[in-house]
Amino acid sequence: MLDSNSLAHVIALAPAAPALGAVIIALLLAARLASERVVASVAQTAIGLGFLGLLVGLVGWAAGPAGPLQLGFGSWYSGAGYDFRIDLLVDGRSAAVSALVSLLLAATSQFSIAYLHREPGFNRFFLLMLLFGAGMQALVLAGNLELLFVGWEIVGMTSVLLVGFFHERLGPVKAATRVLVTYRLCDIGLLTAGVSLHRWLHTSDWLAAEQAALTSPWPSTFVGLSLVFAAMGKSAQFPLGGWLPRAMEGPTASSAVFYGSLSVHAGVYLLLRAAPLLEHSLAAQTMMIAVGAITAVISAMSSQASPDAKSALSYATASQVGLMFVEIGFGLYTLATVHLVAHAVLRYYQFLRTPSALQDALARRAALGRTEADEGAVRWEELGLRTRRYVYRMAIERFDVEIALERYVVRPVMALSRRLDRLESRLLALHGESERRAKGGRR
Amino acid sequence: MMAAFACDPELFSVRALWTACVRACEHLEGQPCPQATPAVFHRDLLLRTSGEDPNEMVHAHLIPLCAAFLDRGQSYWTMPDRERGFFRAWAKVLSSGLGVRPAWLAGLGERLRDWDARKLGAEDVVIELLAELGIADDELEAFVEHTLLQLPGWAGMFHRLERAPGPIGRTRAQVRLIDYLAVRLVLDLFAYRDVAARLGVRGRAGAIRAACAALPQIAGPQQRGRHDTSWPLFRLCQLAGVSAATIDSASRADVEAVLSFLDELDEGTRLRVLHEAYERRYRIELLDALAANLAAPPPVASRPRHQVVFCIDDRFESSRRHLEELAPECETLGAAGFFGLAIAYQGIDDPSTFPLCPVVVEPQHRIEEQALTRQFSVAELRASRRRQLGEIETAWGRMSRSLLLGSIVTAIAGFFAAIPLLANVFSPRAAGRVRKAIARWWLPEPMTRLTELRAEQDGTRTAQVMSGFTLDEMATRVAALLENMGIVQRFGKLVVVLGHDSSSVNNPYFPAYSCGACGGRSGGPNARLFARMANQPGVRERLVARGIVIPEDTVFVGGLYDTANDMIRLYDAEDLPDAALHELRVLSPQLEEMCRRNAHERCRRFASAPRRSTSERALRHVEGRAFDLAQARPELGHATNAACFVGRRELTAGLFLDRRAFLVSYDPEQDPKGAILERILLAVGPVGAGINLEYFFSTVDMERLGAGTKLPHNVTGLFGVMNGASSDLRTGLPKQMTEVHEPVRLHLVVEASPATLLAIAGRQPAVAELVTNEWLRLVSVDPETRAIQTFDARFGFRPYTPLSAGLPRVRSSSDWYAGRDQFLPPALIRP
Repeated sequence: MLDSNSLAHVIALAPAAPALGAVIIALLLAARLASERVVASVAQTAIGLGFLGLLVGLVGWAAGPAGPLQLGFGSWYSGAGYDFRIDLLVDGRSAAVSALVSLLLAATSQFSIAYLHREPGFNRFFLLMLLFGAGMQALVLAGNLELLFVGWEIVGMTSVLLVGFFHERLGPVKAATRVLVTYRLCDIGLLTAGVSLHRWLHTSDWLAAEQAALTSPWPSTFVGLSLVFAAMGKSAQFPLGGWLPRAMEGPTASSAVFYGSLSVHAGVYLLLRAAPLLEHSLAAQTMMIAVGAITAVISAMSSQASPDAKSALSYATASQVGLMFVEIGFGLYTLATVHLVAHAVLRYYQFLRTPSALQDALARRAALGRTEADEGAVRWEELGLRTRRYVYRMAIERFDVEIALERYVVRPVMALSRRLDRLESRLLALHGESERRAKGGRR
Repeated sequence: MMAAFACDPELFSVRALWTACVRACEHLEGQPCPQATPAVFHRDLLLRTSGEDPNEMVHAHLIPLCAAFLDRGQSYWTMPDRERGFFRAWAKVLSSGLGVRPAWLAGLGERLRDWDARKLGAEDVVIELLAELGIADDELEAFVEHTLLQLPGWAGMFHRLERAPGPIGRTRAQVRLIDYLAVRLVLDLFAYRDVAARLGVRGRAGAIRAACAALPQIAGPQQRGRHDTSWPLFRLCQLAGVSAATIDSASRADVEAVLSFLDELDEGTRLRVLHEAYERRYRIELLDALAANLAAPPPVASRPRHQVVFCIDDRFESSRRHLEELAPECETLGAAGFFGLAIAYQGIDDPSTFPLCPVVVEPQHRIEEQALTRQFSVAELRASRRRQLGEIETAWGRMSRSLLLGSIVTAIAGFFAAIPLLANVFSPRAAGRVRKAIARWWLPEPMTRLTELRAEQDGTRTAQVMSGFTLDEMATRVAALLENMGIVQRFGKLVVVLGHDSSSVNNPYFPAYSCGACGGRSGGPNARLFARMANQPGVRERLVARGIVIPEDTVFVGGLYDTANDMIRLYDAEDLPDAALHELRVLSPQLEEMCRRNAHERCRRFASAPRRSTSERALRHVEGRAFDLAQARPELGHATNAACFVGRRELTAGLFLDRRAFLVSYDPEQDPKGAILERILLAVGPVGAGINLEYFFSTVDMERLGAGTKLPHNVTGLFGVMNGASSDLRTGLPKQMTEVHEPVRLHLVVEASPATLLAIAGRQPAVAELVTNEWLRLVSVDPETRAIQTFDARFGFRPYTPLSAGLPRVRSSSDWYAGRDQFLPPALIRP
């Protein structure tokens, strides 16, 4: 069998091969040698290689001694009391999710070759998809928070760029900006968590943190809350979930892989990874349960009222992800892992099939012998008119969460920053700064 | 200088020309330049003064509610109060619940309550708001149009559904465009006031325009810059081959004359000139080929053994060519794919009747497909199993979107989705075949018949839609089609009538690939019905009275041609007499070979198809496309359409037309008065030009008139598609359908004298409109003299003289197209 060193190297192919593929495509693009056929075969090879490496590695791990396996690749840099280690961690959770990522990536690549055929952004799509794959695998297999953060950021940036895939139109660019702002806001949580782990527990290894958490309870509350905040944004939870339906601006295939299945579950996975820490913090657990439960209810209701195929599915996704938060809050980790993997596969397939909505509906209606469009909503229409109005309003406006955020958070913050900006220029004027600028030419 | 010229002559002359142009235009710098049209209405004025678009606020709020109101069954919870119209329903949604309203809608609640208390309807609110916005009477029409065109897709859909429920079925919603306008104006009013307030303009909404007009606006440059005139002059000189020396020696007046001409050549005029030039190339190619073919006509069999009737569709140009190449004793014909039978049809799997005829026609006859008596049990088994599957599927869909059941469904059953997912993505053709096999096994198909015959004295005659046809009605229709196609004397032993359809998956545009003459549905039932009618002994007796004698041994067979996977299915073949079965055994392999060759020819246009493959592989490839979830182009539809021939097959037989021509069979010899032609042109003109112009407009302005790329499309309310989660409804065809299209107007070539054509145009305004406004280009081929004349709105008919000497000659179609993947010019095919 493979020893742990060669095991580490084959498993490392999972993130490394897609990353290498992305580099090759970037070089091809720079050299103007990229054609659809070449780019597609580079992507297929890279993803296939990563998949193969992972498969061999996981079989090797499963055949070896039981228990999690930490695979070290040395340290990137180290300073006084700090060491940035590149470690991979293989345990049941990361094995399952990493296999899922590999499989869905392979499917996306295969699907997109035909689907994006002749699209001007064909090469860009494959470049971003490979980068995303590398980031996602790094995130999943990371043995410590720093490496996870690297993967997390790559996933975030590629997601944003794919939402804005059709950047010649205004809509996708605005949606992408919104995703970017939400992601960056929540990255504060992950960054805070990383720094605090070092500050208080002097480690960021998942395995070591588990030990350290036992000794000092309150840092784990702070770290836990930060991590939950980070996860909320990535997984489109209340009240930060407004970006999810807007993210459907990219090609259907990328909506499926990012917001239907992988990217949106990254937050859940982060919490699963940090579970040993979170267990020691009642506050973090309560927050997960509350946020998850609220999201689950609101999103499920919105999904029922959504009149378009992709929004309906994206709300349904957010709702199940909310339930996963609740499961983790209650300590049901295995259930949450199974739920995550199965849910990701199902939603992926459903998203790929969203363009079929009309054909499916016609077929269903024919099979059931229905002729009028309203017949599917009989049970809903049995409710009293007042109840229906009330529930409908809440569902279609998503309990006004976004409107309230816009009105009570975004607008005041914007107003404040405008005021500060004016104040700054006035202060500068006091120092004669603006005079000097005026002399310098145009403002 | 000579050295510089010798070193790189091109660079040198371009530089010289540029310098000359700059010098010639120097004196124009600083002169006022032509200005963009000034903004008139609130939105444009506010946008230009503040840089902030009021539409952004309005659309984010309006679009989801429009979608919810018009929804035809996508959402499980329907919008309450839909039966009271959009304005009321919207007002009710806004005033229910505990909601927070966006800041820009502050004060809306009071207005809504006020309108409610005064019992104002949408019309009254519109009038009140128009006054409030300060719209003068003479601006009303322009303003309303401007307002509705902010979201042409949504306004258009309200307009469309107000008139007809569409194929997806009725809902309780009372759809009226005026309701949409009322909601839109209310939102506009609040958005305008919000943006204006940030500009410091407060007070009445009517004052906004005046206030904005006084503020500085974002505008283009007022004066000509240094190169604003030299650049167009430079381009003109390059295209016209004018040298630097000519410009240098030109007088100032000459230069200014040229420039003022360029100024007048606005966008519209320039595009028209370029378009005419673009079209001319195709017209010459086409008419030269026609002239060459007329000069050397291929031999035609006198009495064909078989006849195959196709739809006039351009996609069958290649099928017919291949069939004639491989079976010379087979005659092919073209007729509009509903075969003159406007019916409301209900198949055994359909929940209700669907019209199978052009969308402008209201069908008068209902035809049902019924299982044969001995097959009732099979039919019942099929129906009940279909219902069960439908219920399971519905429940599954609902559960996967619900909360708690959803968690059970997704956590347990989610894994099983991996099987169809991987199969469909990695091996679509195998997965599709397995799916079909399972369906055949689990849902057995009963043998069926059509209810085509109605007894003469049936009392339902007065009803709006009659059941079936009487023998007389059948005879009229059969005779009409046979006369149209000009086959009233020569009949083969088998006459196969092929309707068509197109199978695809994951494709909201599926009706656009299907039969246009059947309203975007399958023409199979019409073909089947026509064959059954023409085989009726009673019908044949009545035809004899009209002078159409169909021989005893001639048998009609209906069928369905799938243009996506190139497969043919024949109906009622098991009921044929032995002699006909024997003939079918000869014809069937020929039809199969035709499909293979056709698939092979189609594959040359698909970049993802295997290159230089056998026809077997090509057929497998097109079959896979029809099953593939990832395939955004299951076929290319009418993307190649450019011409339409109405006349005998002699005009086009043996001519490679690259699937670009609608082919309509018509025999001028049997139509001295032009009555049949009038009937044909009335159907073919609007249908052909309709299809052609849909592709034309979707191609020339892909983002506004066409639907843009299909990839971000999102099926909305089962009635339209949006980009992503919220956008205007997309109109027209997506890029994937139009990208290979060459936007040329339909060249309608008719085998009739100019006099006959002008007489028809004089009688039929629908035809005259298309011809005299040049929505299509009419060409006449004189039946007697074979002279070609082209029509032009300014000059009328003018003789056409071929420009080229002759056409390339090849032995078969595949010899001509082999190894080439672009549009091909015509060629003569002479084996």
